[in-house]
Amino acid sequence: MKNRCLQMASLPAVVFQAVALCLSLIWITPADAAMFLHIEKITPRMGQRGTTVEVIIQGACLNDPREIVFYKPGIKALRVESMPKLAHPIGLAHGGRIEDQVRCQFQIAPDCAPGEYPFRMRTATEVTSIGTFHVSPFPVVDENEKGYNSNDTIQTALAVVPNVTVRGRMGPSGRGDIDIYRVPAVAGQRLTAEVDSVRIADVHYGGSEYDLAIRILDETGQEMASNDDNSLHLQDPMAAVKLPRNGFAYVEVKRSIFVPDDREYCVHIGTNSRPLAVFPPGAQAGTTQKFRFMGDPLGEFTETVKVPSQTGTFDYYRDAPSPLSMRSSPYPNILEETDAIVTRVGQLPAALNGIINTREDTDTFGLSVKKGDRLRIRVFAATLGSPIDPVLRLRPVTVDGKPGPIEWEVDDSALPDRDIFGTSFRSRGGLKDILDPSVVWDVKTDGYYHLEIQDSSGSGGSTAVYRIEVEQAPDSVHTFLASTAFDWMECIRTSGLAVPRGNRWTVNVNVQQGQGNSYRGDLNLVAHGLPAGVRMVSSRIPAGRTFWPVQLVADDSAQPGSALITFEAKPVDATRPFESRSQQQIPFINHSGGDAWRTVKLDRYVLAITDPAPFSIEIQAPPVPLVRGGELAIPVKIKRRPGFNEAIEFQCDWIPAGVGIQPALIIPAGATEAVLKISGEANAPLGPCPMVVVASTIREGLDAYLGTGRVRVSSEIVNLMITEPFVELTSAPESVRRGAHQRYVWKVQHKSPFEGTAQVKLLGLPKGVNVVDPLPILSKDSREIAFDIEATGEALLGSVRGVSCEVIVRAGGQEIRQRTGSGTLRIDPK
Amino acid sequence: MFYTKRQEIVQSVSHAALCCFGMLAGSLPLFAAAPEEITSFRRDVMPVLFRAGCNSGTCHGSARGKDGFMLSLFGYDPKGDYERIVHEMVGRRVNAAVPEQSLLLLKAIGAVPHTGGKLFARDSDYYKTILRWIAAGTPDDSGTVPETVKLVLSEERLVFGKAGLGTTLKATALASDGSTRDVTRLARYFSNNESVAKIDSDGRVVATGPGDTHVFARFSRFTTGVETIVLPSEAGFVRPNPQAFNFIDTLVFDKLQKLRIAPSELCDDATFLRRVTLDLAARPPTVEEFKAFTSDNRPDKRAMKVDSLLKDEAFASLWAAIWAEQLRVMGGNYAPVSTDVKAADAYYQWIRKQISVGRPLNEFVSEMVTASGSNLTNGPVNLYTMLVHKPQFEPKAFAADFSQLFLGVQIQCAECHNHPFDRWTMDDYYGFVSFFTGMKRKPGIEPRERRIYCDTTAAPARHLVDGRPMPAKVLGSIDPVKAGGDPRKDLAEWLTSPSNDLFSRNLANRIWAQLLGRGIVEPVDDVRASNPPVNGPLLDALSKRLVDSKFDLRTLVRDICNSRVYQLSVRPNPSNLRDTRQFSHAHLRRLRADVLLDSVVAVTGVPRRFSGFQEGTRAIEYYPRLSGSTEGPSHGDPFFATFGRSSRATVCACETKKEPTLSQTLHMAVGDTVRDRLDSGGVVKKLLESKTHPDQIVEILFVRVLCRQPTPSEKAAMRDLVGAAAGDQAVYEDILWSLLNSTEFAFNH
Repeated sequence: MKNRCLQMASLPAVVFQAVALCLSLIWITPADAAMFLHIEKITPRMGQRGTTVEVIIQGACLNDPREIVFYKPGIKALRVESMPKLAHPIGLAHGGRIEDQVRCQFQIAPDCAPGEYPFRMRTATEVTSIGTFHVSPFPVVDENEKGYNSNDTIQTALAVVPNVTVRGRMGPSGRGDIDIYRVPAVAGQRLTAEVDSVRIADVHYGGSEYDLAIRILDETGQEMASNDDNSLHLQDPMAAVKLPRNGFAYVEVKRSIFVPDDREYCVHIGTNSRPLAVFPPGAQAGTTQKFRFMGDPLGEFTETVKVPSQTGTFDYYRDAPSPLSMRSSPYPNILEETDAIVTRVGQLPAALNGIINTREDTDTFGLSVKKGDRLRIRVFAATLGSPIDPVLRLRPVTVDGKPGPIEWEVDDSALPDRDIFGTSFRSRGGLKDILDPSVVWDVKTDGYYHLEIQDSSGSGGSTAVYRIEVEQAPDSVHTFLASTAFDWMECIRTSGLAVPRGNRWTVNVNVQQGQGNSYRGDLNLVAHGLPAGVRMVSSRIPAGRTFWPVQLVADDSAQPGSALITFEAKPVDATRPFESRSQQQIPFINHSGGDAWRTVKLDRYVLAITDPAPFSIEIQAPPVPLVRGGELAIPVKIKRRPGFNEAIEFQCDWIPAGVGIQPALIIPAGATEAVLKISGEANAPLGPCPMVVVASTIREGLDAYLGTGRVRVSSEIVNLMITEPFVELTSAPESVRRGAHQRYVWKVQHKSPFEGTAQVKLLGLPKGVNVVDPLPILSKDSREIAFDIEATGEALLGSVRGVSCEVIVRAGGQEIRQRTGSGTLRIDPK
Repeated sequence: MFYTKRQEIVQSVSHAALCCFGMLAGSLPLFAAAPEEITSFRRDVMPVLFRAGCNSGTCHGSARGKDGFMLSLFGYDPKGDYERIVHEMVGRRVNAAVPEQSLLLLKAIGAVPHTGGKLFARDSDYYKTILRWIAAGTPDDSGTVPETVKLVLSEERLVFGKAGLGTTLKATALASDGSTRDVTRLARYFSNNESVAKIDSDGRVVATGPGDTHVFARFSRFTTGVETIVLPSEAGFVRPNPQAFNFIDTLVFDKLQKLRIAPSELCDDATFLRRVTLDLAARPPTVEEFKAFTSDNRPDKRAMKVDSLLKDEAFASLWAAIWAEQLRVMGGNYAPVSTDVKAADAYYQWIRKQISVGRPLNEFVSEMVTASGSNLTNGPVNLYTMLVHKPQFEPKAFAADFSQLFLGVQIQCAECHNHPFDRWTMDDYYGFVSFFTGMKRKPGIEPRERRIYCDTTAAPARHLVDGRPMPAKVLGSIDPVKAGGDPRKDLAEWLTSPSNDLFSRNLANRIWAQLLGRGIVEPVDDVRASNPPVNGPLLDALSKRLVDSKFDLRTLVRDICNSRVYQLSVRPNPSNLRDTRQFSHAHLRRLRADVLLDSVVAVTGVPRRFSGFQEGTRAIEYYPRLSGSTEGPSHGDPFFATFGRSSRATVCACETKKEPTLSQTLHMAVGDTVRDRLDSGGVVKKLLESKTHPDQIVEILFVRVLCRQPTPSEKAAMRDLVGAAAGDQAVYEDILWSLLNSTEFAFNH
C-alpha cells in the first residue's frame, strides 16, 4: 500500500477534524476496492433549532450534488454545493473513504423538534446512502479544547451557561480525556446533563470509544450524580440534580472504558426537567389527559398532555433535549389498582398500565375472553425506556377463583414480532423493543384469565412503568427495503431508489406478515407519494412471496427532483381492515458479523429522479418456457446514447428460489448485445414469474456489490414461464464389457408437450466409454430411446453413477436444453 | 505413658462421648448384625468392601473399574454395586451353590490371581461376613437398613509427651434410627502427617515426632479427625509470657503453649511500617512516611498507622484486585462469552466500590448471588458471566466454583460419587447445582450486552445414579428450599447468614491468609473434614469477629494487623525455628505480582502502562482486557505471568503464585521493568540535582526501596562504591538496581 503525505496545513478546518478523527486509520489509494458508502462524515453533528448551520458532508461519489432530502420536516438544506476533493483521500475502517465534500446550509425551523434527522443526498446520478443530523433546543457551542487534557479538572473546566449544548470531543489521550464544564449553580435549581454520543454516531464500524459516562460534581469535586448507561438512552448517559447551594457545579464527561480514540459528542447542560418516566405511559388517541412525570430531581409532577390522534409511539419532549416515549392507542386505559391483588379489566380492547414497584412485584390483570378471540397482547416497557425486562404470563382462573397453571409465558420478542423488519443483524441493533413480550393468543375456551407481568431483571422501582396493549390481532403486512450487504452496510444497488429520467429502475421490495396476520392471499402493491411523471410497475404478489420486484418508471417529462414514498401492500380481494407500513432500518456502530449498537429507523423511502442515463437495457419476454432442469438463453440489448461507449455491467437481481442465474456480466465497450443464461432447478416455481435485468455503468475502485457511484437502469419486467420438464428419462442399471458394444435403454415419460423432435445426448460416461452414432431422436411418441455404447480396452472398470441425458429441443428460435435422469453403468473386464 | 495433661483432656472428652453413646445405646437397638440375623449387604458387606479397599479409587472404585469389575467409589451406589456383584456375571462373582468358590472371596483371600493381592485371610471376620451373605442367597436389603449419619471417635484430641507413645482409637457409627455400632474394625484410617503421628488399620495411633497433625477415621461417607500433638522435649524450653494485644494473640499463644513453642519477638517499627503498608496499601512506605513513623513516639502509633492505611483508597484497590482474581474478572470482545470489557469493568468497578464504602461482605456476596439483569449496567450479575467463562452457562461448573469460592468447599467430586474425604454426598451436589439450573443468559439490546435471568420454570438437576430430579437445597440440608420462584434468594440467605459458619470461616480464613501468608485452613479453598484448621479456636474466633462486626472487612483486618501475632519478627527462636503453620513468627512472603510492580513504580517514580488502560493505572487496578475470548487463562501482562499473578483460569486460590523463580530473578536483573525505569533516571537525577550529600542519597535510596537505613557495614560499602564518583548518576543507579534486585525488596518480612 502506498503511503501519502498529509498536507494538513493546506486543508480547511473541517478536513483537519476529519483527518484527526482518522489518524489511526489507513491511507488507501483509489485502486483499493472496498465497502463504500456515499456519506461517511457530517460536520457538525448538531445544530440549534431556529438557526442556520453550515454543514460539510464528506464521503465518496458526492460530486454534482443537487439536493438534500430529509425524512422529517423541520430542516431545509440550502445552497448545496461541491467543495474541492480532498488532495489525499482518508481511508476508513470499513474500507470506504472520504474524498468528496459538499457544503450546504441547514436551515432549522424554530419549531423543529429536537432529535435525529436522517437524510439522503440526491446527486446528478444517484441517491446516496443515509446521513443524519441532530437538532438541539439549546444554543450550540464548541468545546474547542486545546490538546486533549486541558479541561480535565475543576480548575481548568470550561465555563458554560445553561441552557446550552456543547459539541465536545473525546480525545485519544493516553491519560484518557476528561472534559469538565463549569456551570453557575443556584440553590434549589435543577441541573441536567445529557450526552449524545452513540445516538449521533454515524460510522458503520465502531465500538466502546462512543460509550461515555457523566458526573455532576460540586465545587469540592464531590459527586452529586452520575450515570453511565440508562434504560432511556442506553449507552448515552444522563444525570440531573437539585443543586444544594449557590456557586458552581461541574459536569464531567469521560469514557466508560479507556479507548484512546477521537470522537465527537454533544452534551446538553440545562435547567430543564428530566423525568425518567411518565405514568400512564400512554392514553387513548386524540384525548387530553393528565400524566404523572416521575424521576425528576425536583420531584414528581403532573402535566396535561394532548395525545396525538395518530396511533403508535410518540415522543413527548417538554423542555428537554430528549423525549419520553409514549403510546397513543385507539382504546381506553386501564390503570393497575395498586390496592388490589388483581385489576379486573372490564372490556377489551384496552391498554393496561402499571408500575413494577419492587423486584418481587407481580401485577395481575383479570381478563374475560371468549373462545375464538384472537388477541394480540403487546407490552410496551423497555421499548418506552422503562428499566424493566418484562415477562408476561397467562393463567386460567378456576371456578373457585384460584389461578391455574401457566398456559403460556413470554419473555423477549423477535423483532418481527414487534413489526420491525429488515434487522436480521446478529444483535438487536439497540432496539429496546426486543425486551418486551408480544404474543398472539388464540383463545380456546371462554373464561376468566389472569394476565401477570413480572420483571426478570430485578429492576423494579418507581419509574418501572409498563403498558400492555390488548386488542384483536390485526391483519398486517409490512414492506421494507433490506440491505443484503456484508454486515448490513447500506447497499444502494439493491435498495436505492434513483430513477434516471426517461428510464426505469427496479428494486426488490420485501413483504412480511405482521404478528398475528391471518390474511394469506395475494397482495397488490400501491405506491404513495410518487412525483409527477413517475409510475410504479408491480404485478400481483402471489401469496407466500417474501420479496417481489417493483419497478419505478420516470417518463421523459419527469422533472429532476425527489419525493418521500411508501409502498402499501393490499389484499387483492378483501375489504377487511388491513394495516401496511413501509420501513427500512440502517445499522450504525457495527461490529463484524453485524452487531450494531444503534439503528436508524425509517418509515419512508427517498425516491429521486436523476439525470437521464446514457443507456437503457431491454430484454424480451422469452417465447418459450424455462423448464425445470433446463436452461434458457435470453438476449439482452443495450441502447446507447450517442457518444457513450463504456462497458456496462448487467445482472438479474430478482430470482425466485429454484431459478439459477449467472453472476454479473459485462457488455464490453461499444457492444450492444449479450446473452443471459438462466436455469431452472427441480424446485423452480411453476407458472409465470416476473423477470428483470438491471444494468449499470462500471466504476473501477468502488465496490461493485454496493454499487456506489454508478448509473443504474433496469429493463422492463417481462414474464418468464416456468414449466415441468419436457420428458423424464429413467434407466435400469446397465453394464458393458471392455471391447464390447451394449444397448443402453432409457424409458421416456412425457411431462410437457413439444413440437418436432429432440436430440438426446448421454452425459457423464467414464473414460473409455463412448456413444456410437447415430444419437437417438426423441419425439412426442417415443416411449423409450436407446444409445449404442462401446467400451474400449482402456475403459475404467467399475460402477459409475450419475449418468444422465441432455435433451435438446429447438423452439422459439433457440435451443432449450434439459437435463434428466440418473443412471448407473458398470464396466466389466473383457 | 501419656502426658498427664492429655489424660485429663482425653478422659473428659471420652466421657462426654461415651455418655452420649450410652444414652443412645440404652434407648435404641444396635444395628450391628447379631449372629442369628441374616447378613445384610448394605450394613455388613459394603463396609467390608470399603475396609478392604475394594471400592477405592485405585481399585474397583475407579471410574472404569479394574480388571473388568467396577464398584462405586467408596460405595456411593450400593444398589449398583449389588447388581454388579450378583447379576453382572452370574455364578462367578458370587456362587450361591458353592459360596466358597465365589470369585469375590477367592480374589480377596488371594486364592486366585488378584491384581490387588490378598486383602484379608480366610479365617477373618471379613471373609466370614461375605461368605454368610452369599450362603444366605445374596439377599438384597434395599430400603431396610438405617443409614449412617455420623462417625464418632473415642478421643477428640491426643497429646503425646514424646515420640513413641501411642493409643488406640475406637470408631463408633451412629445410624439414622438412633442406634450405634462399633466400626473400629470396619473403618479406614490415615494421618495427615506421619512424621508427627501414624495410625494403623486398627486405629492404633503412635507418636513419631514433635509437632501437630490430625489422624482420621473414615466409615461410610464420614471422615472424622482427632487433633494430635506430639510435644517436643521440655529441655531448654522457657515458657514465654508475651503480652497479648488482642484475642488473636491469646488463641495463637495458647496453641503455641500446648506445642511448647515460644513466639518470636515483635518486629521493629521500620519492619512493621513496611509490612503493613505493603499489606494494606500495596506499596512500600515513602521516605516521608518512614521518617514520620520512626520518629513518632506515641505508644499507639502502630494502630494509628493501621487505621490510616485502612482509609487509603489503595486498600480498596488491593482487595478489589484480590476479589477480581477470585471472581475471574476478565474482559474481552468475543460476544458469545458475554464478558465484554464493558461488563468486566462494570463488575470490577462495582466490586471496588463495595470495598471502598465498606459494604458488609455478606451483603456484597448476597447481591452477586441474587443478581439479575444486564451485564453492562448491573455489575454484580457478572458473577454469572465471569465465574465460568463459557459461551453457555454451565450450572455444574458454576456450582463447583461457587462452592469453592464462597465456602472454600470443593464439592465437584460429588458429581460422580460421594465426596471421598468430606461429608458431601451426590444428593448434596445435585441439590446445590439445582440453584443454578434456571440461570440463563440471553442477548441484550446491543452486542456487548447479555441479560442474566433465572428461569423459574427450569427443571432441577437430575441425580447421576438414578435420574431423580433434585430440587434446590443448600449443602448439608435434608429438605429442599421452597418450590417456585427464584431459589437463589434462599441460597443467598443461607449462604450469608451469620449462622453459616462455612461462609464466615471461609472469609475469615482467606483474610487471615492474605495477611499472614498462610491460612488457618490451608489451602484456603480446600475446606474438608480431612483438612481441618491448624488452630480451630482461632478460626472460630476470627469467624465470630467477622460476624459480630457485621461482616466488616476492615474490622477483621484491623484486628489482625493490631495483633502481636501479625507484628512478630521473622527472626525465629530455637523453639519455633521449624514451625511453619502455627504463626509463631512471621514468614517471608514474596510480594504479589501486582504489589511488586507497583512497588517498583513507587520506588523509581516511573509509571508503567498497561494495555487497554489509561496512564496512571496501578497494577493492583489492572485486570485482563483482551482482544478476543476470555475462555482461556490470561495474565494480561507479561510481568504478571512471570511473577505469578492469577491467570484466572480457575477460581483456585493456587492460581496466585508467590513462589520465587529463576525467571523472576532474571527479569528483575535484566528485564525492562527495572532497566527502563533506571534508564529514565528520574529519582537519582533529582537527588543529584538537589545537591544532596552522597551518604544521604544512599540513605534515601535504602529507605525508599527497603524502608530502612543502611547498616554501618552497608554504609561503608556504599561509600567505597561511590568513592570519587559522587556526582556520577550511574553509580547511584547501580545502587538502586542492587536494592531493587535484593530479596529484601521482593519480599514482605
